[in-house]
Order: sequence, then structure tokens, then C-alpha cells
Amino acid sequence: MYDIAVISGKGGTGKTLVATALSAYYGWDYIDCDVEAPNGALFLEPVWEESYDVSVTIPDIDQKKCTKCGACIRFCRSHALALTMSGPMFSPELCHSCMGCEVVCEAKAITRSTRKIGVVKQGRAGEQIVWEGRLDIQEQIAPPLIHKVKALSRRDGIRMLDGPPGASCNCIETLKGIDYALLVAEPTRFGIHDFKATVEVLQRLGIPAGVVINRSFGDEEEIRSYIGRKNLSLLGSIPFSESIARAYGQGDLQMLLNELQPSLKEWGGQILDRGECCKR
Amino acid sequence: MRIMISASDNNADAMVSEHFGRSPYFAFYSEIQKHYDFLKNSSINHESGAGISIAQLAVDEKVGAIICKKLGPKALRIIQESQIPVYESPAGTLEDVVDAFKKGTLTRLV
Repeated sequence: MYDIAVISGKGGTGKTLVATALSAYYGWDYIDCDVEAPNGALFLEPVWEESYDVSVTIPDIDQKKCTKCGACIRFCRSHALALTMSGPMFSPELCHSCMGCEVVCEAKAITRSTRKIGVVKQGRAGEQIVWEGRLDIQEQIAPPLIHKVKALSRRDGIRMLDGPPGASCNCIETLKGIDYALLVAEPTRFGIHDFKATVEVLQRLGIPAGVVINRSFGDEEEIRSYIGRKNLSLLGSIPFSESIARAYGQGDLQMLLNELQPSLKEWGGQILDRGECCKR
Repeated sequence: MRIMISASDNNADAMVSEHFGRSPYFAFYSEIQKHYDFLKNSSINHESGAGISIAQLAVDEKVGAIICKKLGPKALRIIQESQIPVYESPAGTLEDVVDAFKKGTLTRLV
């Protein structure tokens, strides 16, 4: 098993472009971990085969047993509990499922219940296996769903995980236990700022990484020298081109594969070479 | 009765601030003593649940009324459950809205 996650920091830099094209070219499993806005399926067009509801644990408070002592409210760091005149009030969308409230409740008024937060789906696009996690509307806490889509899609072979934007919890949940991170960088001020934050996360987690620069104008001294200083490998770049933007906008995977050849072959080769030398 | 008002600064001439949970300060006005106490909002940078902790503050402080401009749905539930009346503030300073409150011209939200 070899897991490659595609991440970026800034949103809209081209994670899904690279992840769908590269995984489709090589026939790797594609796992959409951007559960707040999964859109890889728009390009890969899988036929869905399985669907699994994903739930999290939440407290169930028996108001009759509750003594309104406030211990659970003081314990909850997520502000999911508040003490009103009529007793504890629970805001499920803020709960991180730690169940500390249950532990601290001396009256034993708190038991466990569950709540659905999203769906994991598995499908097939020709030979390629496609998975996606999709968070329900209004839900705020994505890591349990990312964890689930990764767990369910585990199997021998190579998986390409299309990551979420940002460098916080959702990104880190995607990166947990993976073998290689492919960074898609955008040579703009905002892009470089977030790129650096993401590189720091990767280096702390000790994950080897390679970089593809998207929307390249050819003049990216700042980002290239940063990549050099951090000992990241620059796999290549994607030119800023109207035809690529058009193909992406139309969700036309075949046209994207044509546009990005022969880079895809070369990047995949470099990632796998790196993978071989990293394997125990 | 003590009235809790979302305040942009810690003096009576401060403007009422735009949003309850993310308000920089809270003014507690005592009708009997005709005096303001100010509290800096320590929840202002909470990623989420700022409104909830401030609603909890209002409940814990046993205020008799809240005056603010906007109140999020989570804070609202807690305040409703605790039966604290909420009044909508027009633009103005704390002094202005306390006057309006005393004259009974503020619109009650909850």
C-alpha cells in the first residue's frame, strides 16, 4: 500500500486537477478527502456502487437525572454545552465527541448517542476505484468523516488522496499515516503564504513531499528558491493556459489528460521512484 | 436590574458593537446604581461557539435584559431557554441606547 496525498494550503490552486488527472492516468484509487466540497467525481464520473452513512458519538442528557451542577459545561472546551435555567443545552454541531461530559457527570445523567454527519461513497470509473466523503450541509467538523473515507478505502495498491484546502485539522487528518505529499503550489502572494504554512506542517509530520507549480508564468523565483531551501523536490509545473482552464471548467477529463501529457507520466514516475526508496 | 450591552469600547460613550458573540467588550449597566461595569470579551477569537460562551456569561451574570444588534442562532437558543429578554439596538452610544431602553422605545427581539 502506498498513499499519496495532494494538498496545497490555498484553495483553488489545482489539487483536484492534479489528483484526478494523475490518478486516472495511472489507474490509482482516487479518494476525495475534501469532504466539505468533494468535486473529483465531476471529472472521473464514477458509477456509485456503495454508500455508507457516517456518524459521530454525542452525549444524550437525561434532564430528569441532571442535577444542573454544571460540571459538564465547565469541562466542554468546544462550547457544545451551556447551562440554561431549564438545564444543560447541547449544540451538536460543535461537539468533538470526546465524551468528557459523560466522564465528569456524577449524576450519571449522560449516556452515548450518535448523530449522522455525512456519507462515504464508493464507485468505479471504468477500472479505476473512486471514493468520496461528503459532509452533510451545515456540519462543521470534518475529521471523523475524512478518517472514515480513508479507513473504508484501504486496500493494497496505490491510493491518491485529494486533500482539503488549508493546513489545519482537515488537512492533518488527510495527511495522517500517508507516505508522500504532493503539493500543488500557486505562484501568487496568497498562494506562497499558504504554501509555506503547509510545508511547515509537512516537515513537522516528517512526510516527504514533492511540488508541482500550477498556473506557472515561468517567473517564480521566490517559490522556487523556497522549494530549494526546504529540500523539496520540484516535480514540474503546469503552464497558465486558457486551454487547461477551459478543459477544467468543462470537467473534461480526457481533454485534461491530453493537455497534461507527458508531465503526468513523469511526475508519477518520480513519485514512485521516491516511494521505492522510502519503503522499508 | 442589570442590562448587558455589546460594546465596541470600555466607556459610556462607546458605540454599541455590531455582533454579540464577537463584541470587543460587554457593558453591564446597573439601573439602580446608574453605573457601567465593563468586561473584555475573552471569547472573541474562539473559532466557533463565541456566542454560546457569551450567552452563558449572560445567564451566569443573571442579567435582566440584553441589548445588542445581532445575535446568532446558538446564543439565541440559550438565552431564550433562560428567558432573558433581548432588545434590538439602533446605531448609537451606550448612553443613547440605555436612554432609549428606559423610555421603552427599543424593539424587543425575544
